[in-house]
Amino acid sequence: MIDKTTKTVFRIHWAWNDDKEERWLGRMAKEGWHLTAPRGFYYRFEKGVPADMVYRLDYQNPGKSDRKEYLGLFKDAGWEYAGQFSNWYYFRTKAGDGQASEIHTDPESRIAKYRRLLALLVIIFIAMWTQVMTSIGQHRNPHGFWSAIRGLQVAITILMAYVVIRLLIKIERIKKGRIGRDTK
Amino acid sequence: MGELEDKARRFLPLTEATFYVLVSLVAPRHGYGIMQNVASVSENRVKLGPGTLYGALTNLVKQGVIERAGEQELEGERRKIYALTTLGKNVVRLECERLEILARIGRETTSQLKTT
Repeated sequence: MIDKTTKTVFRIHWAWNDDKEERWLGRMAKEGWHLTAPRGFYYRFEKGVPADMVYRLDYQNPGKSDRKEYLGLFKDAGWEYAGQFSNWYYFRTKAGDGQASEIHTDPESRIAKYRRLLALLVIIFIAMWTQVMTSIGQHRNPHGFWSAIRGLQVAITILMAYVVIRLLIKIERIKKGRIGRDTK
Repeated sequence: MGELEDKARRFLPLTEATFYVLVSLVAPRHGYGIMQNVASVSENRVKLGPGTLYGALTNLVKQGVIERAGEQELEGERRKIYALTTLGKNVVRLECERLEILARIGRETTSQLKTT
């Protein structure tokens, strides 16, 4: 029998709920599964020694020229780079250990992180919304295929609007200081 | 002189993180040097996370308050050096002057409170 040394887990995490994703990755590490590749809706893990790890996600776009400098800052501060999906960067460090357990140490920069994501989502939302509105204006197309496409467009537009609203709520909650960090 | 001061004044008051970054750059430093300096001058009360620091540095470079001034080797890896621009020096000076006024009022108030 061959020991299973890697595994893939399918799991969806919402953008406004990255605190939950961080905790989940921490629980996986406790069972000895260490993240090797976050891929948005699935994650690759490698079997290792169970460890008490803190995972933190940043949303940033350092670009090709500044990537080394960006990752270098985390490395120097004691954070290991664990992977990247889109503009989401995954970092981990040993829990306790006298190490700082936050990559964002003030509410302003936590808000800025969600605002960067928000800016992108708002653009996608406006693009989708414009397309839906113009297609409604045109004469109806009775074919099933096109109405299915239109239905899908509407669904994505609504989903985008929902994510934008959830992110705005998240930002408001950080502003009011009710959460340093979500615990739910 | 006046124009630059007006421009500098627009950055005030600074957030705590920005303040600590800028006062650390009185001498040019790389990112890790800034983190260490902040921890040391604040007697470990303020820890600057790398996510917060990277955001602050990119913003400040964009705003022309600081600039990249070459590179330095840190444990075999190249790290960028940051330094205050002339605008940045004005921002730091004006903010420190503002804080000194606040500190003086603070001292006067605490001594008044003691006598009442």
